[in-house]
Amino acid sequence: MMMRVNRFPVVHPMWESVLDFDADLDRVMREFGWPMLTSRATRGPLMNLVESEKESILEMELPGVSKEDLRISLEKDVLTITGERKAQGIPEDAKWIRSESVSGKFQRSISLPHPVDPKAIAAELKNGILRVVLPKGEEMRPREIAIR
Amino acid sequence: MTKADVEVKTTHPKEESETGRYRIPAADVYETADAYVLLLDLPGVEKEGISLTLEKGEMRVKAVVGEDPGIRGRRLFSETGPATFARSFTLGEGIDTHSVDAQYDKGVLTVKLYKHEGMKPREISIN
Repeated sequence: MMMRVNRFPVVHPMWESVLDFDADLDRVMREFGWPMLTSRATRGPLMNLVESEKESILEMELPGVSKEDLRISLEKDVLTITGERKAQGIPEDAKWIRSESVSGKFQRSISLPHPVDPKAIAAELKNGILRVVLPKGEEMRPREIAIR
Repeated sequence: MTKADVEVKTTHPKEESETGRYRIPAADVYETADAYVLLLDLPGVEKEGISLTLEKGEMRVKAVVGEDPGIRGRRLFSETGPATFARSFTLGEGIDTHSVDAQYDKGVLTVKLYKHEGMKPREISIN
């Protein structure tokens, strides 16, 4: 099984154009009919992660994945998302003409930029997007210190 | 049949996003006795945000990812790319463009393109 732990911070604004290039490359590969060479196939599901003052929000693209086939776990500050996209079932007399989507098992681990209160994590799967809200532990929030 | 009736075009779609940037969604196509079924990965869009246009042997799909809830902060990962999906498909004459079914579920758009009556396989009874 694919196992990869992403360390933050990966995206400095300077690198955003590189990611754009990555997405363009995916597109070119797909246009030439080589979807197996796209980064989606090698890296796992695509995601965005934004850290704000109070929380981090992770959004992962999981089209065709059912809630029942998805597991989220947290160990220390490493969030792991494991699941499976079941292969599309087709009638017996049907035949494939083109197959670009990636199905099968996936796993992605992300090292979070801050400690998280495990009880306060909220996750929702809607329209093929998994959204996980990861509130920071109290001690991590910026505080204003009154001067006496 | 010598040629597939649903051909996946590699040219740029005519309809592009406002910013001129868009993503080409992954497509799966399979053929049954009476139809071609097209599956497109469109994660993050609402049903209302998808437009499906059939015109002169071409089917265009465009989908806009739902409003950004306005999350402000540091972007640690940003992999998903432009918020518009677009792709077009060439349809052969064997497709009956008047009967098309489409449904969206779990981020996947399924389009069923029925074949013309004359294109379906027929069993001929022997007298």
